[in-house]
Amino acid sequence: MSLLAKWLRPGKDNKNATHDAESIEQQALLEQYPTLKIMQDLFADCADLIHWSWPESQLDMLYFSHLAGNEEFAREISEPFRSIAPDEMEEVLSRSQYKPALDCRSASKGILDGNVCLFHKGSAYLVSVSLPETRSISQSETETSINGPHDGFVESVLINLSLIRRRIRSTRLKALKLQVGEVSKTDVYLLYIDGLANAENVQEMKKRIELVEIDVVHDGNMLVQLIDDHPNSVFPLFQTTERTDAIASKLAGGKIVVVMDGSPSAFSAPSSFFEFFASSDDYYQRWAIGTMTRMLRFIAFVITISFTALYVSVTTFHYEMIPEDLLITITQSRSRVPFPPLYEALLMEITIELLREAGARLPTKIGQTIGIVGGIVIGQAAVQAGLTSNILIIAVASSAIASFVIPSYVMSASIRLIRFGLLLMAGLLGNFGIVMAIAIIFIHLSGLTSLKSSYLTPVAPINLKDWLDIFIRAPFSWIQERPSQTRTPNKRKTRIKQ
Amino acid sequence: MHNRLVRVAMIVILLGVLAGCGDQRILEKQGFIYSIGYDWLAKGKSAEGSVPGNKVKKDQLSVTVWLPVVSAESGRQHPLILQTVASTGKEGRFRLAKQTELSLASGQMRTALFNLQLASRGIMPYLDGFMRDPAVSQRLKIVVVDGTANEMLKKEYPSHMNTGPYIDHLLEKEVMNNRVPESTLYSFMRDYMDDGVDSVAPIIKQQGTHIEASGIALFDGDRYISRIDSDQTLIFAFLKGSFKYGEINIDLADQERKGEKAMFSSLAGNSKVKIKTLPGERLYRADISIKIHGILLEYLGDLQLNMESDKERLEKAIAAHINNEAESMVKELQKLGVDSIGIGKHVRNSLSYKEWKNIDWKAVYSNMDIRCNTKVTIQSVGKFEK
Amino acid sequence: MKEKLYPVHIAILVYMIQTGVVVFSLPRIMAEAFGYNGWLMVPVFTLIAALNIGLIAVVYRLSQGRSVFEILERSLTKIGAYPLYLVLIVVWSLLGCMVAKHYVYIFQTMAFPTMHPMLFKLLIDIVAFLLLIKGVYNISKATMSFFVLTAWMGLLLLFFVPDFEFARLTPFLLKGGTETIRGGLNGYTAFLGYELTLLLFPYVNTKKGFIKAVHAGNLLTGVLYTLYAFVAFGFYSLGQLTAFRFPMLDMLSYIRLPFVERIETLFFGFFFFTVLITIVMYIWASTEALNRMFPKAESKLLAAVLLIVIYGVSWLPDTLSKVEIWLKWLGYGQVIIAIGLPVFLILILLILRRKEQGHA
Repeated sequence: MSLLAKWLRPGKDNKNATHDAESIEQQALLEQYPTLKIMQDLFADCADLIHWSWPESQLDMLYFSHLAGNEEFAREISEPFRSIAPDEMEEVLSRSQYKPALDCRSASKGILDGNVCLFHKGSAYLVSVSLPETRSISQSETETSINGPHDGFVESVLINLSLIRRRIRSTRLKALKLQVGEVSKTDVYLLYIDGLANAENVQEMKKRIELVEIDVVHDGNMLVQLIDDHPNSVFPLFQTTERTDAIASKLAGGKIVVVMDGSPSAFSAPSSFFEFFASSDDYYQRWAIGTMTRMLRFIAFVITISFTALYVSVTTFHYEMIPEDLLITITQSRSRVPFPPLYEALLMEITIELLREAGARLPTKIGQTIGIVGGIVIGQAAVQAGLTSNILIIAVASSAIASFVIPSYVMSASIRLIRFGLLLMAGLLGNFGIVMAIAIIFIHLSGLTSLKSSYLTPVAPINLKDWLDIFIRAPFSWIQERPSQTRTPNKRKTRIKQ
Repeated sequence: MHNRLVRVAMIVILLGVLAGCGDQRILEKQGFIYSIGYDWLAKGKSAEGSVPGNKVKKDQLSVTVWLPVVSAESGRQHPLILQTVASTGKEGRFRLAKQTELSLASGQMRTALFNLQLASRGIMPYLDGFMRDPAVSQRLKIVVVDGTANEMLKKEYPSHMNTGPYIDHLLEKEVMNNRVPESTLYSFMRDYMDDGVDSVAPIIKQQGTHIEASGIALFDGDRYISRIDSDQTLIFAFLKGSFKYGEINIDLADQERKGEKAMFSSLAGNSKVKIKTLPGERLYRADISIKIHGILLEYLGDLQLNMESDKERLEKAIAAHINNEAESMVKELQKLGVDSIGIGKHVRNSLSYKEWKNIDWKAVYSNMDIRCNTKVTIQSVGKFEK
Repeated sequence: MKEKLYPVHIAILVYMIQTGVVVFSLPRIMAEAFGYNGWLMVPVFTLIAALNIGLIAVVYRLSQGRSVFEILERSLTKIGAYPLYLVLIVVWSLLGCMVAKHYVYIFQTMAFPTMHPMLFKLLIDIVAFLLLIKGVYNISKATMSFFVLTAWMGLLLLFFVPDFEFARLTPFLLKGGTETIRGGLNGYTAFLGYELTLLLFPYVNTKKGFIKAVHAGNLLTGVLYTLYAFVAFGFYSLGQLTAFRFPMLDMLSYIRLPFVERIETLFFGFFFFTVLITIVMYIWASTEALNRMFPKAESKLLAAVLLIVIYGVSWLPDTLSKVEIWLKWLGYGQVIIAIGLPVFLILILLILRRKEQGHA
């Protein structure tokens, strides 16, 4: 019994309490006052570090040239120090852009951030000359919009912040700067609108980000998995997006947004399961069309998880469900297939997943070829060779297409995964299996929380007002309140309390 | 927390693997019985399916099934007809199952055919089996065959490759047109177990190279008693209740209008039954008021239909004609002792429970005074007025 | 942060606990027990249940939101309350488990006839366990989503409008029934489930809405049951109703849509959601009582042990009719608990109050 219980409840991992990334010696070193010697030791073997020395004015500087912009360098370094008398040095260095560095930690971080570290008579100063190369602002590849704004986030957090600030010009938009990654030291900004976001949520999110223990974080989607409530769930618990307008609307709804340097995906929290089916494009259409599209996505969700499963269940166990007119058609298409429906369906589903993955990893042009080869050639040939029935091809293809209707790529992938669970259960237990799988999914979903709020809001706990902006896209005048999930102190949308 | 979920899901799937396989009914391995036919073989007749030349020693049953089969080689569909002789329906199914490599499945059964001789001996034993079998649809059509179901299913009809769907679709259309009443397993059983109405079923007959609906079978309990011929079936529909669609040909000879004929189409209307308690022997009187309206499509006679007065005269004549027919049909039904129209429901609903339980309904019924009152409205006389 | 149950949750929870497989035989039970227009008794039952809920309301008011167990233990002492707990645990857990087995047997009349029923039962128990260990708040959340998943099925009644006939209802009121009292009791077991709200006191969010919510849930059940029964009585003739084992199941199988027909296996499957909640809540209730007896034990472990024990017990009845007999007796027991427990609690609370007043 206890064995079973133990097995059912996997033990907590013994987390390594000690962090080897920085040894104690190095810790001590970092506390010291920075001198040229110590800094050079710290950056030993960094061939790309540039050391300039002007012995006549007792000035040394360390910096990475590839992090520096030419103009900035000229303005902050070349021009002020080109022809300067040694006694004028102090005066120049007391200008506000030259910040004294008090320990090696800040000095080394400054250099890594694209500052020039100046050493003069035993004092160290930092001046920012940074202008790292970035991709220009372009449309997000994964979340395209048809008639909304086309700007997507890029890999530079400062540009992303500027994109958000340009959309929300308010002093209430606060940005907390945090850092993640023992090695990578990635900048993370936690954004919220003061007075709209729940203060507890902000504190909670801040705490979670601060407590992240990892060496390097590469992307927002990765960070999400480190800080969300249930890292083992297949469902994404915070919504990531590359669209600036989506992030702005989340902020205005009282959610917390986190943007991370080096990643074009920002994420907002808390999120509900149903939010992943909304796209900001819905708001740029007339409300009836927006509503229709939204409902279409929920239908797509049902189709994705159930079509193939129903095919398997009906052809394996419940033949009586087939209407008369379809009976012969389906039997004919099944008649030459040598496998039981479950294997047949698994074969096709896996093929589709292969095609999708191959298409995603290849350049667009080759990806298209793959699509044609896979879709037409394999599909057609499989039917003609009698490996699958064409009704199944229709079921698999429509459920695959339906899965791409879901705007969030992460969610769409999760749903495609659970589809396999349904498929297996349908193949084993028919309709009962399907229902059971749905029950398990919903039991799982009802246990999930996103930033401590129910993942199933507004269905459970129920809030019919929220349905206006979740299941349909009601006219703007109807949506008077911010989503209840955020527990915003200021529910009404139309006025902000002072 | 959620790793456990994964593990539990694994257990569930594992258990599922252990289970289930025995209950699989994979589509292409099933032989879907589309139509099943039961024929009565009286003692002493030779029957197909039994050893040739052998006379049937005792009363037996011939069971025929018609199934659409798809051959794995060509992917084409062709009909398969199996037949056997047995003493009970279940035994028949059992024997039939031995004749094919497919497992016979009754979940797609659409029509159950009973021949007249069998129907007059009672069809409940077969219906009982249908009701018990969870696979059999509640919408299974109960049909009586004039002739033998075996021959009907076996025969190849030049314009219809698939006899099963042919019969099924024919019946569906006839029901739509109110020429035969709807008779599914559900409705047959419902009326069978209701004390205020008797069941009916359509009769079909093979006529040369086609099949036609040839009337309505009247049941007393589960036994076939008599029939209503096909030219009278619409009258039956009028009596039975509301109807939406239909056509009727009327010969007004009995209304002192020799040689006058009318063809009345797009009929719709309803009938209502009112019960009055009478003093004396007959106890109750039922007034059936039938209201019909429709379009006159054909008229042979000398009334000027564009004149209101003539139209009214025609309406009256038609109403009187229908009324006559209806009343004689009711009389006939009373004589047979079958309450196929469901007068009993109305009588029951006008009585108290005690009174209803105390009367011998069948006796009261045959003795009842039932009158019809028909009103006909000609909505239009078509596009063309002369 | 401890989440509390909102009135809406309670209402839906009550509805989902009450609604179980009995719905499928309810029209037959009503027809057998009360004869013509037996459906009229369904609202009466709703009223009786509402009165019973009234008793619970009195307990709630007197207890001021304290847990029922606390009250019991205060007057009976801990040990004194144990036998009572034992009875409650046995009845509740067996009821939960027999409901599951009943569901399995009914499902097996339609599909999977050769599969071992206990294997099915095991699957259901595992799913129930998954939900059970999430605690009552998450159970209520799952309930809410299951409710949304199943609520639309009420619309299926529209399919029966064309075949519905008022004449079939007859003007006879409750005539021709047999075994009225026993049958009536059987029918009443369809309403059981509201009594579990006794255990929800400590989990309730607002003081005001709680009893109203329980009434609302009961009313929803009553309205839906009445509708189902009413439609069944007008769709089937009385004789037919009494002959069907599960009239509602046959009604489901009558539905035909253009793209699919004979959906009874799928839709009966959907009833799994409501049955699951019934099972889980009964087992949850007995785990709560069990937890009182073994306060130190982990409640998840207790739930697991309990489930395993009753899984063993559920091997005993091995046919549908045996399960129904078990369910019948357990149902009677539960009726007694549903009425007796609140009355008992009211007495205790009154005595306690008098004592307190005496001290003061």
